[in-house]
Amino acid sequence: MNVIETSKLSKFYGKERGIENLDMQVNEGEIFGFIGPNGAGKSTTIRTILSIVHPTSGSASIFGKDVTKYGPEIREEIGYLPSEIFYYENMKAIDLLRYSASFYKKPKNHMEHRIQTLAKLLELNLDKKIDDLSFGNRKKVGIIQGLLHEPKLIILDEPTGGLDPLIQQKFFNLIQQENKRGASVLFSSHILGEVQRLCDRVGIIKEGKMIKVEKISDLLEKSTKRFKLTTKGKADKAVLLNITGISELVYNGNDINFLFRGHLRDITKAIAKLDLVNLDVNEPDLEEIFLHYYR
Amino acid sequence: MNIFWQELRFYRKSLLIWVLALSTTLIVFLSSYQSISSQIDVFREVVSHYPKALLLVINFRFEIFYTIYGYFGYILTFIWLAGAIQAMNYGVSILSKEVTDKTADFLLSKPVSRSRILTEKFAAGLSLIVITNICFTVTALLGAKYFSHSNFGIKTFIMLSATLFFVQVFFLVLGFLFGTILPKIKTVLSVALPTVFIFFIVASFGGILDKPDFYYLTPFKYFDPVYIYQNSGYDPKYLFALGGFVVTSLVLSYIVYIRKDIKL
Repeated sequence: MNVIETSKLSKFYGKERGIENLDMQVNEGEIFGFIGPNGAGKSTTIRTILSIVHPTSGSASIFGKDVTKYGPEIREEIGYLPSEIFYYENMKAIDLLRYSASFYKKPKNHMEHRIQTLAKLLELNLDKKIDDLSFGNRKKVGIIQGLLHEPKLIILDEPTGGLDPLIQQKFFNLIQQENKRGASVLFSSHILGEVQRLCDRVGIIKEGKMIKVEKISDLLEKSTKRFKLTTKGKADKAVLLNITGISELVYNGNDINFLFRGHLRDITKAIAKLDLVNLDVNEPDLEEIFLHYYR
Repeated sequence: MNIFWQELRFYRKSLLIWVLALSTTLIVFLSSYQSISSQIDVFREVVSHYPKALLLVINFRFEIFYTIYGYFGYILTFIWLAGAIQAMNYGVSILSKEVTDKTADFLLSKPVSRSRILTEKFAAGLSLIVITNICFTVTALLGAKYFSHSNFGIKTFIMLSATLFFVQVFFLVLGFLFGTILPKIKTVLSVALPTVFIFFIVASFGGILDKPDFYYLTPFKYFDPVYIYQNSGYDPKYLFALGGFVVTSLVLSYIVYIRKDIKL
């Protein structure tokens, strides 16, 4: 069964496009990456399936139930971390979390226990006022708020912003644990790296449309990487001449710059012939993916 | 009921401040009743030189002014004005603050329906008004007993006091409607204050121009202390007007809010 299923889902704000004819399926038990640049429509999709905004046309269902008809029932089993941090004035973190728990039918003491455990794990002081918390700590409150009722579906909208690498790692582990427990996850991000680490499949959204859905393993195999080489002395241009998968090749003194898409074995074999001083291989940013991978 | 209780918690400080402010104002006014009523001839002389328009604006009714009812009715004009601002504030902010504080996504992603959110929030706003009025009425009764040194009809007095409640309900509901219709309200006071004053000005003009039809437009004209004193009741036509307004606005609020897109 698909946990999330949208069919020709469109949302326009007046004439402004949010999403257009978006089809998406998230399978039960998977971590689905939802990736695209800012303004592509990730948040709009999420807010539409949560019924925070209403679709202009098309439909969406969660757990097989239409989101506009069964909103409250569906949301009982959803944990959502919004991209925008939020806080009620003058509320302590623990008050907000208890308020959040009060909406769910799960046993109260169980959720209370979850709050304490998660706070300990993420190193969050629950007695502080949310106003006084840093951006990253507020994000932690958001994470706990989204997980305290052990939802069947976790929706994360750009969750890692503001978290330091250590906490980020703990957060990823947490999500993986929840996933093992049986929760499905929709993970929206504009950073390819974190999606690659966590997700089984990834959907790429561009200008409101889902342009590609791919398994991470396929994506990695086919992914483009940016190479920056520095050679000792002038490089022999013949070395890189006939290798398929190279694009945007630029020689600049002793520096060589290019994008490569294909088997890494082929390219490493070739550059082994060069007298290298420095070698830098990077994930291309999303723009580059869009430009080169989906040309 | 969790939203209801949470809202009450959010507003408890504001409620306390408003109750104290209204009660103090009332006590200060009532405390000068004795000196005014003992020098009623001097006062009559002074007031007769006031422009008629001013007397209308401040709802000054000489027929009963020298009684505790009349004096209280005169004070009420100012209390209504303050109470209207309080109620409008609650009505507008109780919904709009979720958007300005970016908490709307938090609330709406919970397993609650829009209509439940609206109902609990309205109930919270109404409770705040009820509590305000209970405190106000008790203060008024105690104050009047202490300062008037004469017997007075408690029923009439409570009926006068309760006019604050009706005026506040009007503005609570209006604020609520604003909160659902307007997409984003940055500061609540910038909406509440002008609205209340517009209604007050309409009331004044209605009085000055002597156009009773105007009176339907503004709750500041629904409750005439003289009428209440003489009839021991409210003017039914204005009660209907108020009831009609409340029902219409609430229905409209639900229709709008249930279909509304909550923007970031």
